[in-house]
Amino acid sequence: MSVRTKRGSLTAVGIGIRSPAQATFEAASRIQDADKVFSLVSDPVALYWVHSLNVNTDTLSVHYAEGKNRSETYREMVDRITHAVRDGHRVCAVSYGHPGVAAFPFHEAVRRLRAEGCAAEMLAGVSSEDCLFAELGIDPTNGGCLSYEATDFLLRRRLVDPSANLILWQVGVIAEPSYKNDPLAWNRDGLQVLVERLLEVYPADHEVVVYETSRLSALEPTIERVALSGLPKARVTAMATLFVPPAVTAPLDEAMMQRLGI
Amino acid sequence: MPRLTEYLLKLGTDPRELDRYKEARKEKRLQAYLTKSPGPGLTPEQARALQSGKSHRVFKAAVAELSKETSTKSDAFLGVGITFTCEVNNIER
Repeated sequence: MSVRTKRGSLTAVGIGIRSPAQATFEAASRIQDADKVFSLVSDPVALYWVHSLNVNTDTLSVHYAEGKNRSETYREMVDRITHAVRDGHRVCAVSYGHPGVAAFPFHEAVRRLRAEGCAAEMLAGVSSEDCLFAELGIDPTNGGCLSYEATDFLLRRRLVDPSANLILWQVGVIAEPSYKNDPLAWNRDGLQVLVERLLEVYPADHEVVVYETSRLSALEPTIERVALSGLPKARVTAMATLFVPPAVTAPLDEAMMQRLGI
Repeated sequence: MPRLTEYLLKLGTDPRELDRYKEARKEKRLQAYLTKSPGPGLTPEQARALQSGKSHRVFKAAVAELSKETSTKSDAFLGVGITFTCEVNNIER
């Protein structure tokens, strides 16, 4: 019986939303250099590109199934990645966007392997939030920016500052634990609940933006501006993000200004 | 060669081709431009998918093309019909 002595490793990379255009050189080189690549990308063009860099590519998308609980799907993905590393392979796990943003399996695989003493790292990629800043012309340092996952925002009554920018992720899949092969919002009732919560802070006519960046350079991003009260009727997809601009300007703290000598 | 997929990659990495594409779209001659050969050389159906401006239609056409190209290979493209995924609603008490 042969005993494998080679040390495996994991590098988690993201190839942006529009790949390969938004992929970094760093990510491409890690994909090329790996013994084994596991890909979780959101379109066939991205997968084709990853496959062209390294033929030893398997897709993790096969673990999704209609109605299957996503926790189970993610556990299977983590197992697949970590087993390959334990078998001594230099593994590259590829996600669309940023591998550490809304990407439980990648964080968990890195965490688990590090705990076992294996080399595991994550490299940054371009997330949909990065695209939002560029395409909506938002500077998160101007007024500040709060960013919440929509279901978590509701369940924990996260604080809202109406003077800051607010980004709510996954507004089309509120309270959905499983997977559906449908591009439109999976829970429109959830959208209604979200609006009711936001109306506690913002006026009904406050303009919000339903945003989804384009996954192809040839197509335009979705930018739909609607009054907050009209959100439940807007065309919201499963991948949409909600951007809520500030409704008021935060007052300056005179005492702090004096203390800082401004 | 998967012409549509290769062309989509080109649009993402060749700004001059992207400009030519946008110009043809602006001048409402996109269908003719996309099916021109030499040129993008897409099928009329693939060109219509791109013209629709809907990513799902474009990706569906790309999957159809790639499925033909890779029918004798491994399952490398299995699962790409799923064109979006998202994070679990991770609720820990």
